[in-house]
Amino acid sequence: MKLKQSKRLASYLGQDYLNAYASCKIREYEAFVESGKPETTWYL
Amino acid sequence: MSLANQLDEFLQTYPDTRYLDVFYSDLSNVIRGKRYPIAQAKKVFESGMMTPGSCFLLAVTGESMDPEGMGFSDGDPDELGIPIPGTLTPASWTQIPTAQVMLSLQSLDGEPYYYEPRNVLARVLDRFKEIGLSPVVAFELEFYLLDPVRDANNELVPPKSPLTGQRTDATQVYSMDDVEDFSLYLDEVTQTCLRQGVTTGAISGEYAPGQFEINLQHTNNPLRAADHCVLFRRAVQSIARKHGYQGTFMAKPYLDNAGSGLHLHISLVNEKGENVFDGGGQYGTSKCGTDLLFHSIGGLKLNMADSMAIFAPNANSYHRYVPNIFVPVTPSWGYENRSVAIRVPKSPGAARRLEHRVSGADANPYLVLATLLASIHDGIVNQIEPGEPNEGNAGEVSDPNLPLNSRCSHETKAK
Repeated sequence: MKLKQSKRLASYLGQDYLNAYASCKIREYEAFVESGKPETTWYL
Repeated sequence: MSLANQLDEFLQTYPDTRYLDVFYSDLSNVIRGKRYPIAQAKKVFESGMMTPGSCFLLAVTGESMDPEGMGFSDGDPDELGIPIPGTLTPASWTQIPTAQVMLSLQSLDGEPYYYEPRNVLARVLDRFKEIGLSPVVAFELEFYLLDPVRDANNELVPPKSPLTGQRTDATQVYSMDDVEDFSLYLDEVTQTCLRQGVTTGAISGEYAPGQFEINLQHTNNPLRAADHCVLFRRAVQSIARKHGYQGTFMAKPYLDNAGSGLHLHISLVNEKGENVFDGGGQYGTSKCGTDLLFHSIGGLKLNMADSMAIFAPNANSYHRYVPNIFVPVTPSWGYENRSVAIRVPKSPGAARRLEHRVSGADANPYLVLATLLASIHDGIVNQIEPGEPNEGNAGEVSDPNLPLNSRCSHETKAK
């Protein structure tokens, strides 16, 4: 995830925060792919 | 006035209140909290409410992803939630008279909880104090009303008009008929917001059936602006349920219709309250803005690719980025041009500002604002040039350097 690698943004938002956010979103995406649900309604 | 006294005063005004909703908005804008009998509400104002900090790192589906070992791995510890002053308001759509108050988390010794998006924004705002500038911001949010019952193919459908009983399937942007059809619902939203101290502006029917936009007024308190976004979203979705609709801020609920965006208007004022983006010259020329405006745009452009995971937080979000539909697909800027990522709207000099048009309505308002202000600060401090403004359609072809789909945004993981 590009966000996690951004030293510029990390200097403001915090590198630990970007790591946690990226980890959460990557795992969320993997869970979505495994679910096989449609991208339009999968979390409605 | 102490927090406990605020509750006493509230109950004098609303003596029939029977419950208090104590809540926060999570990473994906899901409202989470507890409903207290009003007789027990005072203890929340006196000593707070304990709640797991990991709730700010849940997936959009509500599941714990245990990111960086927070959740299952660390035993899911509690943090202390303290009511945010000024957010105790009536939740007037509820079936039983109920009040609501927003929480912000901190440790027992008062340190703001690091992983709460509101506190991420607060950290960025501290950087602006160092350079003597204050952001003035306004959110614009689009949303859809849906029929809660799907069609025979289990697909989403717009709601029937309460006036005509017909289901709209045509696209008529800025249609006043669409606004009138749903005026009872829209009026309850705006009146509820007003009672909560959230001043709304213009209402418009948007590009697709059941899609609306309601603007929020600009404010020089960015934390409060994002809090208002949370209150607004709760009102939109809760009142939709009351009226028999489903309200959603999903970025692209229909693949063949317009997506919903979160646009942010931002200017900066100095310690005298003067707009430091106003160059005093003719609009549409380089003289209408200052170096501070153009460096801000430069910072936003430079950091745009890295920020996409904030602006488009989940797999659905990326379907919104389609060329030629006024959704930015390039790190571009321009004057009075809705195809660019950063627009400088036509305005008198005193209202000189930039409009950031990239984020989906599903993005977290605290994180989007934190990321934009970080980029603006970066642009100013490092004097990043924005390049020439785009003229004409800047959204004809997507920029290959932007991660505009789910796979690209996770490319690091794939390698």
